[in-house]
Amino acid sequence: MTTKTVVSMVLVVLLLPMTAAAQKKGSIELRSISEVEVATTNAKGEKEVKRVDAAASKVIPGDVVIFTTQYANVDKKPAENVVIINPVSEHVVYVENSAEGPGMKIEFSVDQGKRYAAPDKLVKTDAKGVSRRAAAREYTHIRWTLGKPLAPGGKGSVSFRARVK
Amino acid sequence: MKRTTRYILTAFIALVILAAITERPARAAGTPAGVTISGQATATYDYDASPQPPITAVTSFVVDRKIDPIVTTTNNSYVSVAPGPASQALTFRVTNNGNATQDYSLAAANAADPFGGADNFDGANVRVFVETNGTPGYQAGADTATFIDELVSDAATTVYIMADIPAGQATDDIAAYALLATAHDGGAAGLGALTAATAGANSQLGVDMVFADAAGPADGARDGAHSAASAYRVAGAAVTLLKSAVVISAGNQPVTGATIRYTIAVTVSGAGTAAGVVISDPIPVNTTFVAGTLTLNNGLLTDAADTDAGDVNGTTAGAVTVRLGDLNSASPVQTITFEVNIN
Repeated sequence: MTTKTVVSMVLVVLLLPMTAAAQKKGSIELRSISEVEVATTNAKGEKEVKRVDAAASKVIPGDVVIFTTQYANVDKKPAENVVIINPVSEHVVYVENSAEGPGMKIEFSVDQGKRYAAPDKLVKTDAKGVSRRAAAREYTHIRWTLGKPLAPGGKGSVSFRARVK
Repeated sequence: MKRTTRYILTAFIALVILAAITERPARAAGTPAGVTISGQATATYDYDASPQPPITAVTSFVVDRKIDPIVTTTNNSYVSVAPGPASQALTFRVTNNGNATQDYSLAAANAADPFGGADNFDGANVRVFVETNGTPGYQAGADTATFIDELVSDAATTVYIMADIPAGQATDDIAAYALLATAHDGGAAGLGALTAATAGANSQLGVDMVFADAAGPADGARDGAHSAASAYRVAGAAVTLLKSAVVISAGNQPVTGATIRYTIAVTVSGAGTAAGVVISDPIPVNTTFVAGTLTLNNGLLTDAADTDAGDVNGTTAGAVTVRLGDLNSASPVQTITFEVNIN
């Protein structure tokens, strides 16, 4: 046995338990945040819009809440086919054109997540079989699809706004 | 074919009208206070081409109590009143645009004229009553509630401001009042405690009280109250005269010696009373009054200026004069006739 081989073997032995531990606790971490924008005046007397945790703020019907999902790959391997789905709560209405997600394909559903499509291809069909383009207020789910693998340590966030009914 | 097309078109229009009538208005007041709204995210992904268990994360918050009374008046313009009568009504609607059941205390306050004029007098015995018996309009003894009890979200109720109009107010005098509705806690019969807004950013414990009301003529924005104004205007009485002429002598031609009968019909419109109405009509030139032909409402009047209502060439030279006294819109039409001969 040469010295080189011994070093490689030691490395393999060291790596194995690390990989196992990371997989056990989950390889992608998600965090959901709901916030409202509050207009304040700062020390200089300038008007500012701050984002405040919705649970620590007053929220009444008509207010707009920003729902953000932060994601991160905490594993050592790239994650493929990363898809994030946000149901739109029955008590809120999606604000048109508010979904954001850098590098993501954004699609919507009007049938509780059975089918997803871009807004211009979403249709609603009434009882008589007449189809029309679905309105933003009818969206039940939003789906973000990451177009490329999420590298180890990679992270990002997606968000949308919704008005409390 | 033409007819068929028309029928179809009519049916189509009828359908459109039906659809417009049956369309329900959107629920304005919204999600009830205390409801928890959750935002959930689920992520799916593959490692080494094998699907991994989905990961979820949830965020949530509680909907706070929105306090948003809306007061409007259903009077499109001034409420016309005559000087003197008691218990004249201004009519308002109070709507609960909040997301929880509320009580409302009510008050009448002096206000600027919402219809563009100038408020220049006050009514007497000003009171506020809630429509209680469901019959439109104020009914004394039936509409007796003085505050609004348990108005559910999105519901509205009618409220009256009642005032007595002082006798002696002049025509076009204006008295404006605002109805002020202030939110009190609902939940039990009787007027609850005054609803107080939660101070600071958030109590974080349970439901906060958030004032979302607009400013009215008698209150500010976000003060848990709202108001709207309406106004009384003293209306005069308009006297209308309609005069007609008929040739009643043989031949029915207006020639020399012919007799013409004039008829003057007097009516009064408006809320007020026309006091001491006197009609004076000059006898036309080149005619001569026919003695003993002056009548009022088919009753003969003497030509002399005496105790009856009319005279000729007495009160005013060369004219017929009839004193009708006080008239209002409820008075019957007063009909005066007299005859003249063409010279």
